[in-house]
Amino acid sequence: MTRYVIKRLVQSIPVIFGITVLSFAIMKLAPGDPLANFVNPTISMEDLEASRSALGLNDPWYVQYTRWLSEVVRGNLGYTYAGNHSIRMLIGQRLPNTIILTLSAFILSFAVGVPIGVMGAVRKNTRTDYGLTIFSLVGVSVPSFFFGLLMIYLFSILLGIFPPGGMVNIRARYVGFARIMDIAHHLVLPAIVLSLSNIATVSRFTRSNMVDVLKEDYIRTARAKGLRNKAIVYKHAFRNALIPVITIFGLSIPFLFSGAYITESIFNWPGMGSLGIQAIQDREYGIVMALNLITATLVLMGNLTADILYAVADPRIRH
Amino acid sequence: MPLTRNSKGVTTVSEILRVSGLTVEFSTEDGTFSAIEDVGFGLEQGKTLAIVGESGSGKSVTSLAIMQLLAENGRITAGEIVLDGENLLDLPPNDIQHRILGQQISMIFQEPMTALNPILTVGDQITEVLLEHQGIAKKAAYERAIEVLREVGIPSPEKRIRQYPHELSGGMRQRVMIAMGLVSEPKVMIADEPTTALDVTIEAQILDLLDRLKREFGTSILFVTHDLNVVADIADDVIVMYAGQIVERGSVLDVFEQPKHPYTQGLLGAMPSLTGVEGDLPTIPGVVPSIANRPSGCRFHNRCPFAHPRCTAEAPAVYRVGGQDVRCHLFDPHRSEESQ
Amino acid sequence: MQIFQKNSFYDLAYRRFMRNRLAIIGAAITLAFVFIAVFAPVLTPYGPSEFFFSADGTTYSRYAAPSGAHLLGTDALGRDVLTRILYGARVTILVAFSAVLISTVIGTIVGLVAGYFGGIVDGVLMRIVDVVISFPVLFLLISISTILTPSVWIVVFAIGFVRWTNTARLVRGEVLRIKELDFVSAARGVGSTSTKIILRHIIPNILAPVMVQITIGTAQAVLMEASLSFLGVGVQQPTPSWGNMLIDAQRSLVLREMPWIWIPPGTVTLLLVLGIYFLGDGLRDAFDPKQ
Repeated sequence: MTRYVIKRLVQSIPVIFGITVLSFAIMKLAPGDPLANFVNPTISMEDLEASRSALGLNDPWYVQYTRWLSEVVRGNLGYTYAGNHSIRMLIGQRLPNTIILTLSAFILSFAVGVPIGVMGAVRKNTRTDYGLTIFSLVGVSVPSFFFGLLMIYLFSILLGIFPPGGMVNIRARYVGFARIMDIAHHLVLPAIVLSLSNIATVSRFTRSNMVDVLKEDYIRTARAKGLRNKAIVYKHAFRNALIPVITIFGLSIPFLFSGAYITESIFNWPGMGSLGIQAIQDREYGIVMALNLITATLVLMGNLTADILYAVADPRIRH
Repeated sequence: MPLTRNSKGVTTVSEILRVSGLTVEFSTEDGTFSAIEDVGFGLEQGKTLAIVGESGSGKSVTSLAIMQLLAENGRITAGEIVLDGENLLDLPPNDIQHRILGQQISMIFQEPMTALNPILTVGDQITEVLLEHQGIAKKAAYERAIEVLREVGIPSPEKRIRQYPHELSGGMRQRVMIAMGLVSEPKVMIADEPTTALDVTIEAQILDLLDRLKREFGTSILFVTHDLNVVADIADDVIVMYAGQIVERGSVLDVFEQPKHPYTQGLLGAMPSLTGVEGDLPTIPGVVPSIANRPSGCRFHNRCPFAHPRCTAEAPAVYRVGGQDVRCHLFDPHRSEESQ
Repeated sequence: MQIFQKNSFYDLAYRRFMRNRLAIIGAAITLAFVFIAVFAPVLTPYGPSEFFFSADGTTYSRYAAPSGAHLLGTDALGRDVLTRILYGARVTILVAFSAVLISTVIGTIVGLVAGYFGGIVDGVLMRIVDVVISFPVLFLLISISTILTPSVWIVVFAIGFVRWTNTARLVRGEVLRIKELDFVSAARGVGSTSTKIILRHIIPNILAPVMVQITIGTAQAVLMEASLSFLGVGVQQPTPSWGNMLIDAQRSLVLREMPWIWIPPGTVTLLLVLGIYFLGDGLRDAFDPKQ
C-alpha cells in the first residue's frame, strides 16, 4: 500500500514537469511581445532592446524557463500586462468560487449518477432501464451552453425561480447565513448545468460496471446462499461495482474544470473560468498560463487521490 | 416414464431429493432450445450421486435448475424437484430463497477464486447465511464459522476468518466454499465440478474431505463432474448425461463394471487410468452436438460405433438392463434381429 | 441481406446492430445530417451570408420573426437562420470528422508503439499522455486557438491534438491484451517481423474498439467545436457554425424575445450528437454482446 502510493507519487513527478513545460511553451508560443503593448512610439530601438535584456526576454528559452519555474515554485505567477496586477492575487480571489461550483457539481454528479446507474443495472432491459439510458445519452449529448441558456430561459425568464446569473445578490448585501443561502440560490442552476453531462457519464459507467458485476460467479454464490435480493445488490454487487467508479472521481475533475469555463461565462459566475475567458479576450497570456498550470496540477492531485482511494477500497490492492 | 422411478418402480423413503421429468428451455437470439429434457433421478440420504458428462451435456444446467439459479433466459418448463417431500417448483420464489437455498440445499462451485466475493472477508461470507436466515447473533455466527472452518481442515481458523479470498490458496478457498455450504447443515449439497480448477494433490484432499463429511454428517451430495476418475473415487451412484438427456444410470459399481450405453463405454474406454495405456486413448470421435443442432433420433447416433438406421429415425426409450437404466435401441427387448 | 461472410464476427455484429432500434435511429439521424451538409446549397434558395433587407429596402431585416420567406427568421445581421443552420452542418461535420481522423491516426500509432514495444518507450509515451490529459480539454483548446489565429483548420488540429490521448490509451490496452494471445506468441515464435505481426494480427483485432472510439470521438468533437465557437475562439463569423450562432443568445434580449435565433441551432447540435452516440452505443453492443 505505502509502496503503491510512493510509486504513484514518483510517477507523477515527470508529469508535473511536463505540465510546466507545456504551460511555458503555450505562453512562449503566444503571439506578440509582452512589451509591444507598452511600446511608446517615441521610444528608440536601443531603449526597447535594453528593456528586453533587462527583462531577460533575450535569454535562451531554457534560461527563461528555469527562471520562470523558480518564480512559480515560490508562488509568484507574474503580473498582468495591463495594470500590473498580481496574477496570484487575481486567481486567489476567483479560485474559491470555482471550487464552490465544481465541488457542488462533483457531489451532484455522484449523488445522482450512481443511483441512476444502479437502478438501470438492477432493472436491466426494462422500460425504466431504457428510459434512464436515453436520459443519460441526452445528458452527454446536449451542449452545455445550450442547456445553460435553456435553463435560464425556463427557470429565470419564464418561471422566475432562480436568478439568471451572478453569485450573490449585489443589491441585498446579505451577511452570515442569509449570504450562504443567497449563494446557494445562485448556485442551483450553474451546478445543475455543470453536472448534467457528468451525471450521465457516472450513471452510464456505474450501470455497465454493475451489470458486469451482477454476472460474476460470486453473485451466483450469493443467490445460492438464499440471500435477499437487497443484500445481493447492495452488499455483494454494489460495493464491487463502486470501486471502479472511483476512477471517475479523477476523470471528473478536468471535465468539471473545462465545463466551468462555459458555465461560469453563461451564468456570470465570478470564478476562474470567467477570468480565463476575460483573459483570452484581453490577451493576458500570463493569466491563461497560470490557470492552465493550476488546474493541471489540481487534476493531477485529484487523479492521485482517486488512485489512492481505489487502493484503499479494494482489499486486493490494499494488502 | 422409467427414469422417474428407481429400480423397484416406486419412490423409496430414504430419498432426500427426487427429480423427475425435469425440462429446461433457453430462449436465445436464434430461438428457443431445450437444454435438458425429461431428466429424472433420486438422491438417497447420506449418499453421493454423480452426474457425469462432457461440456454441453446439460449436467450443470441440471444442478442450476435444482437451485433455481438458471440464467435469465432459462426456464424450467416441466418436471418436479422434490426435496424431502416438498416440490420446490410449487413453492413461491420467496420461500425458496428464504427457506430452501443455503439452508436445505447448498451449492459449491467450480472456481473458488471467482465464486467468492473479493471484497468481503471469509468470515463475512460464511456467517452471512446464518445471519440472514437464522437470526443468530453475530458473535455466535462467527464462533460457528470458526468451528466449520476447522471441520473442513483449515488451520488457525481464527486468523483465516478475517482474511480476504485472495489471501488464501486455491485449495483453501475451496475449503472455505465447502465450509460456506456446510455451515447451515443442509440436507443436500450440490458440488459443481468442485475440483476441476485445482491441481491433483489438492483435488484428492478435497475429495477426501467431501467423503468424510458425507460419512460424519450424513450430508447427501450431488456431485457434478466430467471426470470419471473422480466419480469412481467418490460416488455411490452415477448418471451419465449426453446432449441434455440421461443416457445411463446405475450404481457406480454396475456402471463401471458393465457399462451398457455405447457412450458410457466410450467414456470409460477414454479413461486413461483404466485403460492403462497412455498415449493411445480410445476416444470418442466427434463432439457433443450444440444445443441448437441436436441430431434426430438418438442424439448420440452420429458418434456411435453401433448406430443403425433406426437410431437416426427414432428416439430410443429407456430400458432396464441388469442394474442400470439405459437409453439405447440396442437394449430394446422387441428389437428385430435384422435391424442390428 | 448478406454483406459479410456468414457467422463471421462482423456478420454477427451486423445482425445484432440491425436489430437494435436505437442504433438504427442513430444511424438515420447521422446520415440525415451528412445529407444536409452535402446538399445544403440545394436545400435552401439563400446563401449563408446573404443579407436581407426590410420591406422598405433601407435597413437590414434584423431579427425578423419566422415567416414564409424565412422559416426560422433572420439573425442580428439579417441573415436567414435556417440557411445558416444547413450550412453550419457542413462546418460541424467537416471539423468533427477531420479532427477525429487526426486524433485516431495519432492515437492509434502512439498506442500501438507503446503497447507493442513496452518498456521505456511505453513509459515515456504514457507520461506524455498523462501530461496532456491533466489539462482540462477546453483549457488546452482555448489556449491553442487563442495563440494561433482562429480558423476552421486550427479548430480541427486543436481538437485532434487534444483527443488522441483516449485512442492511445484504448489501443495500448487492446494491444497489451492481444499480445498475450496464443496466435501472436506463435507468430512471434516462428519469427514474424514486428510490422507483420502488427499489420496481420493486431490491427484487425483492434478495429472494432477503435471504430466505437471513432464514433464516440466524433460526437465529442461536435460538442467541442460548438463550445469553442460559442466561446468565440472556434469557427469565426461569417462562417456559420451552430456554436457561433448561439453567441448572440447571451444577450438577454435575444434570449428572452427571440427563441428562433438560438433554440434551433442548439437543438440540431443536440440531435446530431445524440444520433452519433446512439450509433456508437449500437456499434459497441454489436461488437461486444456481453453488455
